[in-house]
Amino acid sequence: MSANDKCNTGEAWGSRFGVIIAVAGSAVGLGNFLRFPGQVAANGGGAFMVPYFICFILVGIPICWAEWTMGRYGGRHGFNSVPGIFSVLWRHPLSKYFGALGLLIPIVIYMYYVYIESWCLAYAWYYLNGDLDLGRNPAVYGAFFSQFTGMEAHGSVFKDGIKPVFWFFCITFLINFYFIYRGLTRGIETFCKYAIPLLIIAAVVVAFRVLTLPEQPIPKPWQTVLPAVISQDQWQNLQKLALNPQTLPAELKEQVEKSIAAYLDHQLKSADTQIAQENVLVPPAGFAKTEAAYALAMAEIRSAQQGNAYRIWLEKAKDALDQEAKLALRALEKEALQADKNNSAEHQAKIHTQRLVYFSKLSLEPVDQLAATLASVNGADRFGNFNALVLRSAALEVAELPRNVSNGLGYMWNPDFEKLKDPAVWLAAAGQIFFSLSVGFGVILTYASYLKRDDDVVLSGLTASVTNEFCEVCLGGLVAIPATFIFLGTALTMEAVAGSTFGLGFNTLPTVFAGMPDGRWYGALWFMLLFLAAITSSLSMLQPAIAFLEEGFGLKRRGSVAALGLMTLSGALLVVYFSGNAVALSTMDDWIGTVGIFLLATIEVIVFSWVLGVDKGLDEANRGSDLLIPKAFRFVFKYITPAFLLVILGSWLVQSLPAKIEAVRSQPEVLLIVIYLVISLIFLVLMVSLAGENWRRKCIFEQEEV
Amino acid sequence: MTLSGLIVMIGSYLLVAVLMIFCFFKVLTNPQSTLKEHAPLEIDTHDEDPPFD
Repeated sequence: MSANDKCNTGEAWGSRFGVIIAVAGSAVGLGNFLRFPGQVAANGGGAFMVPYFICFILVGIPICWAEWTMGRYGGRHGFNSVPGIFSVLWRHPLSKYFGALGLLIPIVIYMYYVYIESWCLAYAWYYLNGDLDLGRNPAVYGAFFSQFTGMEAHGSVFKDGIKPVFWFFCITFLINFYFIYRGLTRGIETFCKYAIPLLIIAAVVVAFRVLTLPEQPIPKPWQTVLPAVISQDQWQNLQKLALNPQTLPAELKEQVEKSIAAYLDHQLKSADTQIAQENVLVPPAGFAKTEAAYALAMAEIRSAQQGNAYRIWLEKAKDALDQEAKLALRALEKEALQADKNNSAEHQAKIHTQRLVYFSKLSLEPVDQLAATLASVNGADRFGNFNALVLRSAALEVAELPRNVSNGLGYMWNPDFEKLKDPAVWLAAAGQIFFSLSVGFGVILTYASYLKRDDDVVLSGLTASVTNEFCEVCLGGLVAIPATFIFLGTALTMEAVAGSTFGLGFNTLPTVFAGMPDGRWYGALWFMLLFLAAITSSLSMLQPAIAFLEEGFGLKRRGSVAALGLMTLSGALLVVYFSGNAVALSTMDDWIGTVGIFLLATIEVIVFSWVLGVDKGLDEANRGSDLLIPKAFRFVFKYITPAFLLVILGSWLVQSLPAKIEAVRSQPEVLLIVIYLVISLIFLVLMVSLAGENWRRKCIFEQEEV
Repeated sequence: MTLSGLIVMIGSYLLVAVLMIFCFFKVLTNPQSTLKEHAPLEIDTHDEDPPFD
């Protein structure tokens, strides 16, 4: 046996199609179906695709090719693990320690990803047996999600008996390790060969359902529905409060929220869906749930005696504005939401002026007179210009479009090319491409190391990336946002887009399925699709560490799987325990799932272009290739991709680092997770050091044998 | 949905779909090398010699 054989486990891919589908499976994940549509809708609609495709060519594809090439190069020299591959790419004693990042990143991401994956499995199961039929209120699903995942408080998964999510977590964890134990070809490759086509079929079926949905009626505002679902006493108390001149908007907001929460809680516990089906209570969303909006609501209630002049004005404005003007107004309101986030009074003032222009074109009562019809409210001056508030609320109501497929697709795809001037949109596009292609994880390096000597990497890498793009652009773009718009309308879609990916996936979409004919089955299919997308990704996250344990310490598959199982279980249990507001999950995602992968990708590109040398790197990539990398990419590899990555990393550090450091200082649980990550990194560095000694010993034995 | 929205959406779908069909066509019509060859281990990490017994 040669030294090389001692190092290399001898595993290889069964077929070329198998490796492409496995890499594509690693890339296709929840982000394709939940993150991408939100990013498009929030960053200029169709205009977002311009920076998106540019970043695909300048950032995504070059890093992919670099990883495929370096992985195959490392495999040719007998290594499948990232530290080993780095050792042969950069002949320096320190190089293998950089490779420790390529172990830490997939292991830590697996720790929280497997928990999210188990939610998908649980939701699919609950849909199949009908347990997720909770009516059509998004907040009910929000409450269910929070209780189910333990986001209410730390340790709540284990409080008053172990919650079901823990058992789903255990099942998901075991499924992952079962396929990893079966090995590269019989486990990962075989699973992905079935899972990816199944996932695509499921996505096509759900997308077809969404695209053939009939137009949905616009539900009544919450003010109208609330009296029907809460007790008469509660409603009278709320009215008294609103009419009392001393009441502050914040007080009314608190009481209304309490009433709605009590009703939703009762509905969740009693699982009584009849009232919910008859009276769809859509809680205030977006601007409507701010204190400013409650000030307006109070004003409206008090001025009701004046013949509801405000409501009449709104109806006239709805009829007078054409579709184009409504779209323009909606775009303005999206900007207003962004200005709220940035706390930019100057931007809000600019938006107000533009609203005035739109409304002044209508032959209706001027807005000043309209505002005068609304009585003043104690404390409303705190929110700035009262006229601006009136106009903002009016614009949101007037801009509501019919809830059909065309407008749903339009919400996501109508381009706003002005947004291209905003650097944040370019950063968002680069970030989306980066996260979507699963580059910077160390996974592709390991996967490509199992290729044969002259196997193609350029075409295979491109094919895997494009398959991911197909799932993201062609399938991901057809479901989440259009369906949300059709069933929930503008304000809630805006809120879902501005909120978290989890919110869209686990709170908003179940509401959509509740309103859809046969929604239970489509819900099951959708969450099964997400589960398949997630598991093909999580499987790939385990392989780099398995490869390292086998080639660094000569462990057999059983030993390496057991060691990695214990390692990942320790972190995953931290994620499950510190589940309050998903603190552990977000901390790991921030420090490892964001900073870590940008760092590793930057190191990889620098090693490929500057250490190995871009000419040697491209020659290596093109060897045995069915498609040659164009020469223009020489410049891209050397300058543009590293610069892009450094700018993105730098901007994240500037924008988010102070808040993240503050969180570490102020929240003990965040500090604990960060300490755990540091200890894990130190542990892996020590293991890499030991593995380095083992490799060196083998090298010496090889020389002695010769 | 505006006309520009429709154009961008269809354009994006076509671009990705055509690229994917092209890639899979090339992959499925090109035979792959079956040669599996690993060079001898040539790593030298320049670490200090381990303390052998």
